[in-house]
Amino acid sequence: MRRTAIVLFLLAVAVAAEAKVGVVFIHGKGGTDLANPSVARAYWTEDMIRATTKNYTIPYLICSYDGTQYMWVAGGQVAGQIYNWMNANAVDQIVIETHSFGGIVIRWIMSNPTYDSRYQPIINRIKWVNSIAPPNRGSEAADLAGTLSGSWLTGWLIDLVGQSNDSTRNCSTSSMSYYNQYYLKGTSGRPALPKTVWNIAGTGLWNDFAHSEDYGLATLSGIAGLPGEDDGMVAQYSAQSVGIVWFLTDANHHHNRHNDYRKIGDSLATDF
Amino acid sequence: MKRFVLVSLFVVTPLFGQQSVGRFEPGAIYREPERNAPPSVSRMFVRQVEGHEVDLPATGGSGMIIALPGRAPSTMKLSSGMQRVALDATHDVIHIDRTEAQRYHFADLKDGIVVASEPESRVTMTSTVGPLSRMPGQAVTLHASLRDGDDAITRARVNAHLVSPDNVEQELALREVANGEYEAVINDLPSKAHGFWTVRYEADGTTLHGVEFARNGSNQFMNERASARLHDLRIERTGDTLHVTAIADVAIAGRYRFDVISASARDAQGERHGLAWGESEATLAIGSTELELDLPVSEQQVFTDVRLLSLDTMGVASRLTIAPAHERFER
Repeated sequence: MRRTAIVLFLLAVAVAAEAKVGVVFIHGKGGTDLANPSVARAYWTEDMIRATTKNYTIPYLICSYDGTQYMWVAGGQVAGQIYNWMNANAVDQIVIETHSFGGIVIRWIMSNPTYDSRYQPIINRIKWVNSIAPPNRGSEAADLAGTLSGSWLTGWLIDLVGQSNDSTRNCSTSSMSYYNQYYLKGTSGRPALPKTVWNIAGTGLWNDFAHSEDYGLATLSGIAGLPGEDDGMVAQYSAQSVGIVWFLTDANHHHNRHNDYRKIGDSLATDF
Repeated sequence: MKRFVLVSLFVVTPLFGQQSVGRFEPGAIYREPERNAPPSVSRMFVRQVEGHEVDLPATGGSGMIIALPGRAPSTMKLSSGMQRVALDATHDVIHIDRTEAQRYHFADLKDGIVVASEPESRVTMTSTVGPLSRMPGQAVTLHASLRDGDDAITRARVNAHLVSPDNVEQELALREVANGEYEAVINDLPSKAHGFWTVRYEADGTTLHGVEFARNGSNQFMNERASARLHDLRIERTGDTLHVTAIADVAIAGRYRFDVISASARDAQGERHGLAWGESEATLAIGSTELELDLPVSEQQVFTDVRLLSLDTMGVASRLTIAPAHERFER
């Protein structure tokens, strides 16, 4: 009996030692064109992917889904890609990297394991999730899309906030309050998520003066009335309301999915 | 650190195909769902450009951000403390370092809307709507609170636009029900559309100090479908297992999830501690069905929260709770 237990233990250690670890990137909301793999790759930028995967030595998958849809629609598209990739490449453990709404999409998957038969096998292989600037309690910037809905939502605001579409509606503070209470796990007062989430909140606005996105985010922060510190799109309180704080970054919402203003990809690579 | 947390995680056990059961982390607090949408605090407003001109009321003592509908005209003269910033090739923003309590007039603008915000202003509109999860037949209460610092803003004009998911819109005025508190109660919605409805609030008037202001904001609430109803909720204990059953009367067939959360009796601070949770998914036909779920709970006095969630079209079909016996008889 004792010998059998020792053999089983050694076997488990050996299996763990040989576990093949991969990394999956899940982008945030945006246009329908984010369902195109090349657009999703450009969302992260090549240097972010290179840095995180240690010069592409870690097996990786860049998920691509229609960025205008609700979390359960995006979750289905993402789950299909992860499920096929992890099985085709025999990846045993997955570190998930998400940006913005991508953090809500993976929370949907982890919170609703029976919703889709592919969810539980994926959850079983997740090692942990690194969630950059997730609107876990919603975003006041998405609320602004509601305030300005109809003919008022025009111009540069649409470019930043998004049309008044399903993914934007998903991210309003009212919607996220509802989903957090009934469909999503991980916030205070709710059951915990089955795997650990490490959150990275953005607290900077003016990163560089070469990108018009920086002007837009700083303006949006002031107009939407994001409370406390924020990255121009998501407030710190919202990003940190699920999981464990890994670190703060002064990279804004445009830069905190890149490896440029702050070397966030280099930080993510320390997991491997 | 990351590896330590990984091994210290509690266990969540998927029992079989369509069920999962788990325990709360020790010390975790259980919270009942919030009744209303989270309050939204606004210091911004919107103005339509008419005849290429617009007047913007500033409350003073704050910076101001003014997003124009296009590029600022070449005729625009910026006084000291004002600067123009190009957002992109077609849009400019005007920043004012610190406003005076007065109207700012802009001319020669492109037609469209101007969005203005005073991020540090003492004048705020805090709005909400409830219930956040509105069951068929429930009244909806729209509420806005206007403040100038600690002072209530009375005699303001507050309107709301109620917009359904199928874009049926109703405008209504909110009545001042207490100093600075404005409310409207709607018993019948203008559409039966289920899903998230948006309430857009518009307020304007003058503060107690005679300063003109305007504010816009919004909230949402979920208009639930009459898809199913829970009743006859029962809990029975067998050793360390809590057996929970309820009857679901289903009006719309489809995929549903029976969610059960077990929490402790209230502690001295009035808090409940989460004990265990379970979820059981099933496709339900029209008619009555008994739903059941077993939770690993050894505590004797428990609070039980059960929900029936729709999975075909997201929404809460029904929710019931049972408090511990000794709390039911407390007053």
